Amino acid sequence: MMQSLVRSHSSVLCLLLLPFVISGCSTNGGGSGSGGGTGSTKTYPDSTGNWVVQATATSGTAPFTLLSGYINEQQTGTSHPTTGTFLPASTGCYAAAANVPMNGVIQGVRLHLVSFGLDQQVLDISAAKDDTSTHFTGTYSVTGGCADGTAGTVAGTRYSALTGTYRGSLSADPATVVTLTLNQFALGTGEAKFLVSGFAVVAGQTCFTTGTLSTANGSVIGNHVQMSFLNSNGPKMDVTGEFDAEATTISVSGLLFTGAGCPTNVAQATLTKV
Amino acid sequence: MTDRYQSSSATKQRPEVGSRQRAQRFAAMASLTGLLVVIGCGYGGVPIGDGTVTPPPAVASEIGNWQVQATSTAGTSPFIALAGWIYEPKSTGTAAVTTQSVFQVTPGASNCFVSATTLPSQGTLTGRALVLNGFAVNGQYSTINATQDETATHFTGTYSVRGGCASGTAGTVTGTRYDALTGSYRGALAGGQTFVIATTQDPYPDGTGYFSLSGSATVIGTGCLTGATLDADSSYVIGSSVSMTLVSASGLRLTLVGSFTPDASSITVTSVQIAGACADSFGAGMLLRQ
Repeated sequence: MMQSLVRSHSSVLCLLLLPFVISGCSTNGGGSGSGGGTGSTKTYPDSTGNWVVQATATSGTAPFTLLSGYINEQQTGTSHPTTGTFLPASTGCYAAAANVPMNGVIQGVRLHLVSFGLDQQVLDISAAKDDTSTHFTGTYSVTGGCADGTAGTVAGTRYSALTGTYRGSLSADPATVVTLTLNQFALGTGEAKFLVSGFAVVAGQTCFTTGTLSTANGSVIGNHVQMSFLNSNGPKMDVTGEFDAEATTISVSGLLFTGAGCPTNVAQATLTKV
Repeated sequence: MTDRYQSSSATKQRPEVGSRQRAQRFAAMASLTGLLVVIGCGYGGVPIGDGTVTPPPAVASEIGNWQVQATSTAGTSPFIALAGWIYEPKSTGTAAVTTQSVFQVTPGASNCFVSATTLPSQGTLTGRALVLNGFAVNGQYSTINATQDETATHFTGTYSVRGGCASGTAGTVTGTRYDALTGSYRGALAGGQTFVIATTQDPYPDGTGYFSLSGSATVIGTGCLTGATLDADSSYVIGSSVSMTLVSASGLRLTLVGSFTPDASSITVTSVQIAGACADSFGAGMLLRQ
């Protein structure tokens, strides 16, 4: 009886641990690997890019509602080392966190990221992405610190690069037409943002007609864009807004000209990719 | 690793033994297999030989706030300094442990890190050998290989960058750990103003390498600002740098900028400015921990 029990447990233990020994060891040190391989030779598009992750709490008070930032999947081996840097939207335990670095692995469709400890809070995301690597769904949990024990679900959407020409008129002043030619860097930075450069042409304003956007003054994080176009004569145009996942439309929530003779009100606009 | 696991589970070749011995062997096998999973799967796992694991001698933890100077030896300098946080998520002090860091980069002549100054890294500390593998920053992967001293307050080593703008650059690094800027500091500026600042440094940074400061201050000789609290949202240390924003009850804001010594015994003030209705600026000075 005892003998068969031991043999049975030995076999079960070995079978249970074998996938971890085989596949878990090929992770990039992000902790607990993403589980066993799929056994499939199917390959999936690279997940590298700019992501918006909606978070919904299922246990405890929501530590954050949104994570925006950069996922970088390194195409080496079968288990791809993956890093992420995210800006959390939080009025709770992550309110003081300006950046959430994460490290982990993508294996097949499985995504597993574990964060650095921020105020002792370690965020763990396990998810499965779709065939196009443009969406994932899964769960999150936080251990340690203020948000210890909280958990929930996540739904990630990859945003296309804000690259191209965008045009539209100011909502309250249709005579002013803004045309932005933008180029978003394909690879992100260590604090979740993607640099953006570009050029602006404005018709219908005398104080500001053209301006240049340097990478020092333009960035995208998730669906949020912030730009400051400078004219060599001094005036500038600050633009903040949000864009859709396909990067076809920018909803400008704040457009402000600064300079002699410029309107002082903050304007809104919808710019469409042309 | 897989072979080792398989050999340990090759029960068919084992001689017959009693049930208690089998139970003990089962337990031993489970423990060994667990070790393989827990230890062997980590970043740079510790090799396991004949089953006897001899842990290396305990080493000091390098967790804290660091200032790292970088000197280029190949290519145009990508950065001249790094400052920020080094951390061990599960500090054991005895074996190869995962080590994380988040630095702010001071860009070098190449400007490759301009506007992209946050550098998260993950690696290992094995004994005194520190390896930090940087996350991609605009496609640039930075690696630091260094050796820390016995007290884990200094390290020296090399860096290299592959990929992106700074690909192929390399150089040397020297790191210094800075004690927490916690305590009561008192001193005078060149203009005769006196500051007494009680400050506490948050042990955990914000994910970009900055450690928040909180506390209160008494200021003598500025004319319009006497008592104030530190605005934790805009008061911080990173590496050797310190910036404090003192806010009075009436809302006046005074910003003090400077640097401090690795043992946090003194602050060298380089500038002090008051914004708003009482706008003013003061010169250099020094504050000493009381």
